[in-house]
Amino acid sequence: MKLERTLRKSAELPIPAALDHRVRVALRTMPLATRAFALPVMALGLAVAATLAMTVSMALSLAAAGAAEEGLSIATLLVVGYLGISCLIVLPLLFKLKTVRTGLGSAA
Amino acid sequence: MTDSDLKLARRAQKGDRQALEALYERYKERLLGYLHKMLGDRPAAEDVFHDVWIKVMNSLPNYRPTQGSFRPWLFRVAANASVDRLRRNKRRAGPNLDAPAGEGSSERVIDQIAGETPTPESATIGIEIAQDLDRHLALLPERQRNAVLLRHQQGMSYREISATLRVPEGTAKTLVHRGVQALRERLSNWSDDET
Repeated sequence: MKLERTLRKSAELPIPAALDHRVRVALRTMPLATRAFALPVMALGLAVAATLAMTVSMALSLAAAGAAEEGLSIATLLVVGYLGISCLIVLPLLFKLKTVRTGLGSAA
Repeated sequence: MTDSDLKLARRAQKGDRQALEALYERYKERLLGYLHKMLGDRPAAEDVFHDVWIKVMNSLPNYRPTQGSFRPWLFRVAANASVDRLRRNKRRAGPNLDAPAGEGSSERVIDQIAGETPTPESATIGIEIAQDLDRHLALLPERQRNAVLLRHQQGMSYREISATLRVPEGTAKTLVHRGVQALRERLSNWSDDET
């Protein structure tokens, strides 16, 4: 078909030398982004882990102190609630790994 | 033997600039051809072409080789950049492409756009036909234009088009079909029987 043939003929366009040079310079010298855990995400993860550990230990202390059923249910509620909130906040953050620019020093 | 896109992309993700340059070498002319038809303007296409490669460098960590080949990903970056440019131009100038180019002018804005930048392919396929096509492509909705170009200019499969435009394969087929149909109606003066 003529339409398809005409489109096909325009598939490639030669790159002007100046533009080619400009892009190549950028490709050679600009810092490349690499995937890494961003510091804020790591800090948040640590904070969550630390607080979780504290909550669990508090729950265990309550249970051990013999606060009996009431203490145990409060402790369980605390742990479950905390785990739920943590999952809601932290997991999406961890899945969407932040990209940080590295190699700034390697830029020519 | 040349490295596959996947190998090159993986190496580029690890910071291998030669691999990135090899990918650039592989796709540069196709990308400019696509952007030129998408934007209908050579200087704008060259401008966006540069931006696309900068974006590629910055977004390379987000490319997941497991989710598909490099080409659809590259053209997605280009498609997004060209749509952004088209929208920005529309906001800035806000021209009605079918409106008269000037006071008392019999020429439309779109005729001027198509006429101001003769392209290399114009020489081989005939200036009139190339301009006709550019003019009518510019009138297609962005998504249809994108789909038609990816299919019939770049020769992508429907699967690749669906990955590029992030639409289901069926939608990609519909977009191409409707786009081609609209072009055929508008270019009814072209003889399809001609070989």
